Amino acid sequence: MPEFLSIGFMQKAFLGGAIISIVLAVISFFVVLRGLSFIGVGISHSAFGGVALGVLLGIEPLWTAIVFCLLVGNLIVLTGRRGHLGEDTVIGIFFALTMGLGVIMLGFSKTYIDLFGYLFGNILALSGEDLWIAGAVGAVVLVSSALFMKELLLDSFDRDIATASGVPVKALDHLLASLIALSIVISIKLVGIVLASALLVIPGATALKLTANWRTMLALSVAAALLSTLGGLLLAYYFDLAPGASITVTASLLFFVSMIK
Amino acid sequence: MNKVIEIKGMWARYEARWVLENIDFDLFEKEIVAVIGPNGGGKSTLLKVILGIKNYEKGEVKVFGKSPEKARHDIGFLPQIATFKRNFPVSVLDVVLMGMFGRLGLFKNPSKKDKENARALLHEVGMGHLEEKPFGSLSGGQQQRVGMARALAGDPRLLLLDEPATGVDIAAQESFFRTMESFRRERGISVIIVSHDIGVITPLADRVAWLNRVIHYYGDPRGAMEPSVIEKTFGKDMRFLVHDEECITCKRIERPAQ
Repeated sequence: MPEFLSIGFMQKAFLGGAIISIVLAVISFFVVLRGLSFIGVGISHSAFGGVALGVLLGIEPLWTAIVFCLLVGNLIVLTGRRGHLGEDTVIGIFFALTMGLGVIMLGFSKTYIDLFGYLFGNILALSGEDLWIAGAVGAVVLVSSALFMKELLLDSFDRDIATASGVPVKALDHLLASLIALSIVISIKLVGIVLASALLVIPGATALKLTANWRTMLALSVAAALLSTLGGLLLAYYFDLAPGASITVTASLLFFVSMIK
Repeated sequence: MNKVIEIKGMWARYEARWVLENIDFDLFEKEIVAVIGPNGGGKSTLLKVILGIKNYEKGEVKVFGKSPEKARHDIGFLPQIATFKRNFPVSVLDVVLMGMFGRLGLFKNPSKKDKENARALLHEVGMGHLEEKPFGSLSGGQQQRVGMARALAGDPRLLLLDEPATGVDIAAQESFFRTMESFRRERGISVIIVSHDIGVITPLADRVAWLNRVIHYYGDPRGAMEPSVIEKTFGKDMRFLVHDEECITCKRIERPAQ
């Protein structure tokens, strides 16, 4: 067994990283096909407000972040649909609002939190409970994606055709926003709030550069995410780098390599 | 003959702007109707109302005697090719199979038989040899043919075509419309074709509707070339040629009196 795998926290980091990578890669597939990158950024930054609320109320920040991200993700979908503003404008407003609320709530809190860890990830601090949560939430995301794969694919291809075929496109918008929110929350410990959106975009974008077949794209997205996470963790271990940053830089490098094709 | 579509006094709008006003429209079984009008004249909106994906404000819309939403599975729809994302990673066969998703419903994937049917449709539109090709790599004319196969994959009784001639060269247009005509003949489906191009679809249609927010004319294609009708639909300063198939005796229509 390689030396790094004999260390308990590294075992947890690799296992957690693999689970989270697979989940993010599948969601990245849809995010890229539907052009939802900015929603990912909006929801991931709203997690900051959720974490701050948990700290203020003395509740596990992961749970409040889940509720907060689900709420913000679905509010973005609703406001974008009903308002006269573009979706990017709505996301920009929620982005600023939730970050601002987060800072205000942390200002009222007397509890110390590892803010840097939440913002940029601290995968080496993954606990056994974190792994269970990531596994359970990840399973929900993967099963939901598989069940609605053909509808999500058709809706991504052409919304008018999907609507005319009787696909419940509005419900799918909420489903996807919720799946993005759940994926982001479980990835906070891996890469942090600021960098989570990178793994929502880069694996899918890398895969799309390499193939014109959606099944292959899905597989390549998973491969790119796993390679980025596990490769990034190894680089972090051997060169004493910040793991979250190392993972996202590796993912970005893979994307640039895919552009050479 | 039975009525496929019956629209009475229908109004539709986008926010405060009315795009369709007091529309009366009908379509019979096995009929081909061309809806012609300028860009922004409400043609695509009319198709969306018939498809049940755009709400209307007043009036009545019946498709196969039902509300548009309930008739969705009986309708095949071909949107403009310009709306397709060229780098979307689907094969030609994948696109045709998408036409079956509505009938399959949730949690059911296409069976082997569905795939065989999709391949048969691709052969019928002359695209069978391209089934594994990425859809985005096809020419505009080829994409339209695959789009027609997809629209027919759900076994519809009504086909709605939105600007099928746009971005397609003349030979491909001709071939596309011949295929459409054969489907009408063999399957007995009704067709509505929307276009801003007067010349392309008028010869194919049993009836022609001139639409620019209101329907200015609906009837026999031969009566559709009245300068006054065209002036109302497209505005003034229109010049055009009317000719027979060989274009031996082309006649210039005079500009309407100012």
